[in-house]
Amino acid sequence: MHSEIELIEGCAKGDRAAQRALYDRFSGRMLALCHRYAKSTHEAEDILQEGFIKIFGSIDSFRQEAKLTTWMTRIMINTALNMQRQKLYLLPMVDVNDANLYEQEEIGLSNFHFSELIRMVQSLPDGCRIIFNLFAIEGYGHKEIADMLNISEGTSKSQYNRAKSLLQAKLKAERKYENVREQKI
Amino acid sequence: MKTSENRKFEEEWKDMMEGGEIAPSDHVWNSIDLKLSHAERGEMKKRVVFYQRLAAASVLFALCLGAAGWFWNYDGAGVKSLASQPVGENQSEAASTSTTTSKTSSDLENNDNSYVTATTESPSVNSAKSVKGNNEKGAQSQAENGGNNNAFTNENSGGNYIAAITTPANKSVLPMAKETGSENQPTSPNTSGFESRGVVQLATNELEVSTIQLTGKPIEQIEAARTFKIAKREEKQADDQDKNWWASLNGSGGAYNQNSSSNSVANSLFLQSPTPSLNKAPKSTESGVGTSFSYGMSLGKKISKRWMVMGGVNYLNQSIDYNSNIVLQEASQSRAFVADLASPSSSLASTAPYVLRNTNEFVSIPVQAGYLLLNRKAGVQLNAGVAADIFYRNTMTDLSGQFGSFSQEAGENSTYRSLNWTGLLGTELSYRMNKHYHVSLIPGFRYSFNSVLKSSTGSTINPLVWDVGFRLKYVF
Repeated sequence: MHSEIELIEGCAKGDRAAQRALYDRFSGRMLALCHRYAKSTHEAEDILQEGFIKIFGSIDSFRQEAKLTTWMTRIMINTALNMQRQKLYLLPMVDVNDANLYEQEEIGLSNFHFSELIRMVQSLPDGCRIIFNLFAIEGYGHKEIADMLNISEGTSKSQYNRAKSLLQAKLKAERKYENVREQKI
Repeated sequence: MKTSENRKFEEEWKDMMEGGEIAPSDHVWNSIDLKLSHAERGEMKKRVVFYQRLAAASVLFALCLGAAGWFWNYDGAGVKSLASQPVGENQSEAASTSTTTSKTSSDLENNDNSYVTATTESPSVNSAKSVKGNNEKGAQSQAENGGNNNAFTNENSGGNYIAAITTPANKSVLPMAKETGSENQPTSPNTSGFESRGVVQLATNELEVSTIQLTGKPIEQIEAARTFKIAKREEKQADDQDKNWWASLNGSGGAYNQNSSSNSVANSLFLQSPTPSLNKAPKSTESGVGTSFSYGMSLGKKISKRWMVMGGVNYLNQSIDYNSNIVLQEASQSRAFVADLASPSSSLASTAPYVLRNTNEFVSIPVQAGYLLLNRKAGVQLNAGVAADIFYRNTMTDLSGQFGSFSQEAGENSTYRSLNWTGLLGTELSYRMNKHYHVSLIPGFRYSFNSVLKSSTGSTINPLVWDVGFRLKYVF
């Protein structure tokens, strides 16, 4: 079992075994991240592949000032955004009506499996999905997101609210379906 | 309230997503591995391109140097024809003294002392006259010119000249003595004097003509004459020494292009396969440029002033990477393989794309002729010849280590021909370190006249190698 530093040094030298070990250690976590930004498994794996190529290509510049996972996550997110950017240009995001946002019933996530939640996120429209990920999960502010995606802060907020609204609707629908199934059993 | 609810929603999602993992499928790593290999080969290719350009630049440099050397020689001949023309600067100088003197040297190289002179006291003769350089003809020429050649008499009493002699054979400038008195005459016993009126020309035993221009400083002139003699002597010694046998250790490295064309039998093998899943088109693509290196020893001999022959024996290694999607199936394990090398007896199976390194090893016996363009302390030589490349071994290695290595040697079952003929062309830029040791840089290329693969494979490979070699030569 290699230490993180050994892996970094091995990867920096182009040692294929070290690269494989790094991949084995982090690919699962990174693919989960990619799934949240992608529409499909195929797309997520494309992001993962591209992201790891970038990681191996620039790991010699990693100064260990941040945690390795944080650095890798940032690269994966940037890769995902770059690959999604084309879609964002094709479908420019605008402010959306979110009048019913806060009237949605709050539904807990603990009853849902991880893969179900991922599927729900994947079903969101492209713009909403990305902003939801960046804001709710990665923890970026709307101002930062607006800068990253070259949109207005208002657009980021409204897209997020729309994502939230859609997700809550999906959670509700899934819960109803679960209740019906339980009653049948 | 709403803000705290919002935060709860986000934190709940964050918690649920944190630490979640999804296992990627195997092909993701295969693709990453392949891309990394491509990137590494890109780096290698850049390095190879650098060496290719270095080799090309060296060849170009050597050719330019050779051309310049040839031009200088030509220029010497040009001096000869120019000097024989009646009009020119020399003419006006000669006219000022109303005297033109011709001087003949019977053998400057072999007998520095055999100057024979002919002087013509004729104002009407404006051009110097060249005379074939042997004593007899020189003497004849003297007779023809009235026999006024018994000494280099200084008729120009206040004369204080330097006569600069340019000899085309060695390109050095020889200031030649004019003297104010007999005590400063050239040291040659056969040269009793030196007439310094007008233009003087020298002809060596090789019928090469030199011009002497009168400029006026006798001490420098004598010093230069001595330098010339020493230089000539050293050159002669070097020339004699070069005629000895020499042996050398040499090595080279460079780029390797397979020049392959494929009509592989692998396709038909797959179509005949009883397993439907194997009916996938075999594809093996080489990376374009590989690497080549060689090392060995040579033996050579200079057979004339400009020509030499050489031979030797070298170990030659040529390797190139392939992207392949087939393996050779054997009872114990699957081995790395490429479609180009499939023979009718090969048992192949398709697989996910992987990168393999294909290495061919030969024992090469070159025979070359070399032509010396420049033979000084630094030398330039053009080499050309053929080499018999005896196939030793082919090895295919999967770089990821997933499949076993495949190796084959020469023989009936081999897909490689045992003997291959290769053309060699290159230049040799040498430097004479001392009496015995010379070092050389040898940029050049080699091209295989025949395909190294047997015709039964349906594919051809005619390797082209650009390389830069190094040679350490010992002259006996």
